[in-house]
Amino acid sequence: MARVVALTAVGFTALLITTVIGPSLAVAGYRPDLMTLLVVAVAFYDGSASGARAGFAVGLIGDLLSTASGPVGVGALVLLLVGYGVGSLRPYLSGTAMVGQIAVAAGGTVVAVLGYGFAGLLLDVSPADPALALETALAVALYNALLAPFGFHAVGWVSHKFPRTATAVPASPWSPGRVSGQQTRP
Amino acid sequence: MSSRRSRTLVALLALAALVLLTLDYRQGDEGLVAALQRGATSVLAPVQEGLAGVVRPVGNFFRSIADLRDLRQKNAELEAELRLLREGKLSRADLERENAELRDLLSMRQRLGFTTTGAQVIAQPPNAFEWSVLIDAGAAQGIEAGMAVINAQGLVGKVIDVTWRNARVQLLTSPNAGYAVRISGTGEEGLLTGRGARPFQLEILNPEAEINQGAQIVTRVFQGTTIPDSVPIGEVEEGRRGGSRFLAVRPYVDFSRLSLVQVVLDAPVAPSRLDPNELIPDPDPPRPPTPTPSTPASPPSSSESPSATASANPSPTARPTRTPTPSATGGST
Repeated sequence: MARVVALTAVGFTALLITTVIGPSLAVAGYRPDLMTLLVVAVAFYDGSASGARAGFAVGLIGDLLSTASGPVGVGALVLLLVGYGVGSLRPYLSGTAMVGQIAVAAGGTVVAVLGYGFAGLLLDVSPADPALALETALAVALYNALLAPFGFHAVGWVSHKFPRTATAVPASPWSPGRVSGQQTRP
Repeated sequence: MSSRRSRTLVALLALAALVLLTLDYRQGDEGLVAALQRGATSVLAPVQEGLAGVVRPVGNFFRSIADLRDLRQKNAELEAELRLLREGKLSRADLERENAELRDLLSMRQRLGFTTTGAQVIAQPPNAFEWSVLIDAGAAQGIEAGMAVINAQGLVGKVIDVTWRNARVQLLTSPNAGYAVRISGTGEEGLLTGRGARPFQLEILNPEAEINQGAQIVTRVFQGTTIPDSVPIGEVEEGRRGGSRFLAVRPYVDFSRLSLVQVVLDAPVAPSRLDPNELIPDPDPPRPPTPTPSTPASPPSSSESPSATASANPSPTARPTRTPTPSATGGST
């Protein structure tokens, strides 16, 4: 329960940062997508189920706070799939922790942004130009990749301080703080 | 098993998301989901507002870093604009000063009643021991050597050299030139000499004359010159009652800031001697005495000759006049 509260606090902080000082962080008009970065990090450390839950919750909050981006549920659906996908890919990820984090963050962000664009196109709420959508996806992915070490560190710190129970989903092999009973890297 | 649970969970969550999406899409702004949206916004808005007040300076800091290059460019542009504005302000102040100066000059010209031509001082003396300036008007404007140069305050000097386009003016401060002057209030006559940066020296012809401090000195017509009469020069710094014949005169003209001047084109030349050809014969010459046998004839003395008297004191109507030359009137203001 404490872990859920802690992750909620991290998510809330990311939400506030995104909505309050996000415009100040814009470079060439592109802002980082901290919500997606958070979902990817949770999925990276906790697996597909946690990633899906986190994605749904974060996406739903984003939808509720955003009245212009489309119907409520789009963000929840997109981030749900991203979180689940990243969690599902976790056993196949290799390399150093940092490279893995950056790659996952970038890939997850590209999928999320393109997913938003595709959903908007499908629902006719934000008929974005595909080229523009791709450009935006790459730019935001680059930004998120740069911020990935910090985002992953924050989520890893929460995982370390508030460990899951031993019966839960196996932890990430690159978790910064492994707890007893967790599965080691295959 | 775990994977199956995960898939089930994902399927349920996806279904929930699609239900929400469908509800919101169908109900629009009046539906339950839209109400939830408004509620979430109203709940989080104060938090966002409070946080924004706290972190805005931080955000501005990051934004400043991101915009540093633009800020520098903007700063350079603004500085350039400011420089232009300052230059414009200076130009405007200069124009206002010039305008006031021209008005004063016009006033002086109208007061003296001369035909003048305006000129700009284009070169100051090259060294501290040369008291002359170059003006941008010359023979083309009708200027001739010896003409008086004035400005709004009074007499500046006289023209000594003339080219077609320029003229050199010997300033009143030059020790090499003397001017016939008088005290405007009393009519006492004197000779004024420049002394460079120091006040003029006035030599009073009448050693017994009483001169008060602040007495105004003006020019007087002197034979052989074209300096007009009654042009202000300055005022006596210290009065006197007898004693020294020399007085210090403070000039009206600020010779360190000469800018616009006027050259008097049509001041009459005071003749140094009368032209015999222009003498008007006496309409009623005295008849030679008729010799009578009783009175012997005697020749009249030259000192009593009417013609001699007439030539020595010509009447105003008989005064020779100077015919303005075309160059003297051309280009006048």
